[in-house]
Amino acid sequence: MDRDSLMKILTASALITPLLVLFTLLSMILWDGLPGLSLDFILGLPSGRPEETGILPALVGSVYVTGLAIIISFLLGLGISIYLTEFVEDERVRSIFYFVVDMLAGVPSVVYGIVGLAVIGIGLGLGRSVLTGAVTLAFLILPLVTVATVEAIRSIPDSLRLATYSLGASRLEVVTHVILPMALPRALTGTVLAIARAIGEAAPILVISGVLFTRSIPISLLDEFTVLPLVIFNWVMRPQEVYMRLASSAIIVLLLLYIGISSIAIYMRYSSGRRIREV
Amino acid sequence: MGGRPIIKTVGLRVFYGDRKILDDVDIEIYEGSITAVIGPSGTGKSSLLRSLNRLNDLIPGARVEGRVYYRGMDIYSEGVNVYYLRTRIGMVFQKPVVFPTSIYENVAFGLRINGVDDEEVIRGRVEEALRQAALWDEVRDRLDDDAYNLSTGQQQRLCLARTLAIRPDVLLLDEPTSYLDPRSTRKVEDVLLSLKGMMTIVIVTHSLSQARRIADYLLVVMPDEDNVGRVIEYGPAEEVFNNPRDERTREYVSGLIG
Ligand SMILES: Nc1ncnc2c1ncn2[C@@H]1O[C@H](COP(=O)(O)OP(=O)(O)OP(=O)(O)O)[C@@H](O)[C@H]1O
Ligand SMILES: [Mg+2]
Repeated sequence: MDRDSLMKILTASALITPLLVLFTLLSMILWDGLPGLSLDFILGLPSGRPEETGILPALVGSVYVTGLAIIISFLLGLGISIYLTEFVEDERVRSIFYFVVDMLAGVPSVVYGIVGLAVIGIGLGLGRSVLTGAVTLAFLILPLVTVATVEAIRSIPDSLRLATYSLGASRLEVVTHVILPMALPRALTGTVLAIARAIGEAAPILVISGVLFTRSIPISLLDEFTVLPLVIFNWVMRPQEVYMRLASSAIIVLLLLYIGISSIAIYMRYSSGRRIREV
Repeated sequence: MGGRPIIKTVGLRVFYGDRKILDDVDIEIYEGSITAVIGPSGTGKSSLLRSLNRLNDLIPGARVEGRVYYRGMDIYSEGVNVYYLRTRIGMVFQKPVVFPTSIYENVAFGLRINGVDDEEVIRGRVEEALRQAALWDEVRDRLDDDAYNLSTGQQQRLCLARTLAIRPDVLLLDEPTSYLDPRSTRKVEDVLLSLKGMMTIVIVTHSLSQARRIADYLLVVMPDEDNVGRVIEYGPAEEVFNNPRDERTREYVSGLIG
């Protein structure tokens, strides 16, 4: 065999191996989880008896906390990025900020949970609430969103800015008429990536909420809550077969939720991409 | 020289960081005329142009010293509304800068930014500007098309139209035809000639033949021994071409240097 075909086989298996693993994993989850997936399971309350249990409180908790976190971090990330790229004049100050953002992206998520609980939960007195969880998650994904948005804004050529200024635009108008419409679609893409992280996080939420099992559905921002990853975590920790299957069913719901939220973001990306045409 | 000065610079110097790239510029630009700025690459022609509408303010590290008067007003003095100033002194760049919108919206852009929101008025001004830029006949049936679909030459005239739509008093052009083919170049030159008198035009060009074709006045920028750009010659184009005072100008316009 010549070296080229060897190389080809090696690189191809590098691609195929993870795909196979992913495929196997997914089929196992579907195999285990699909039979138990019913409306009663999705919309039911948890129960001590596995055959009657449901995940509604955790599902609502996940949607609530992740949804809020995404909105908060998207707005914050957009603001930070525009400030850094358009308003900070000193290149050194700017690179310090970029460095900090990169550092924050590398902090383990459980640390966010601990700091979130200490500062927001206890310090601000918001307790182990939806709001505490959402804000913590928002800060957790903020670096991802910010980096993507900064990249998006920096890819806008300076010539567009100068041309806009040369028509008598103020800095604010350059931001609203050029920077925002052009950066928004790509910032949304960055947010979609962040969603995957936010929705799957168990560790920081475990620290903040500490609730693995609850029958009450969070309504207000200050209610206690749990999320799907915690319920899944709780179930896979148990020895009985039946809980493995329940966990698989819950994972399917989590995946569907992820696809759902991502679709919304992708749709928004698409429609804001269209809006550029009108600036 | 002739005419009424509309722009006047006094001891104008431009720096990038600590590096001085333009020194001692004392010129008057005459109302309704076309002034061509020529000179070798990197001597500060673009920088000179940008200091006339304070676009240098936006270039990191750029610093302007000295005075620039526009219609008697010191544009670097405190309290000057730079945004308004830039609508009076418009600018077209070397590369066409097209916004990712329709042809119509590209031309309307400057009007919208400047608070014109009567669609009737905008429509009229867009047509007027496109006609002035000799683009109307080519795009009248597809105003809602993506502006990116225009040819480079058309895009540059679109940029011209966008600037004309806000009815500037002075038009600065930085090598507007250097990416264009000869036919498109001629079209832009014809547009400029037709605008002459209505507004004052300052154009940076690397093409001596272009300067010959359209310029009333010729301004030559050359680096001195410290590589700082200086105006070495300024006068009626005819005179500068045929009877330059400076030896370097003679060499430059005869194609020996530059
Ligand atoms: N943003 C900037 N930062 C630092 N130096 C700059 C900047 N812009 C221009 N310069 C330098 O200033 C000098 C003059 O630049 P400028 O673009 O004004 O020259 P020019 O005469 O327009 O050149 P060209 O004919 O190539 O367009 C050049 O040496 C250039 O390297
Ligand atoms: Mg230049």
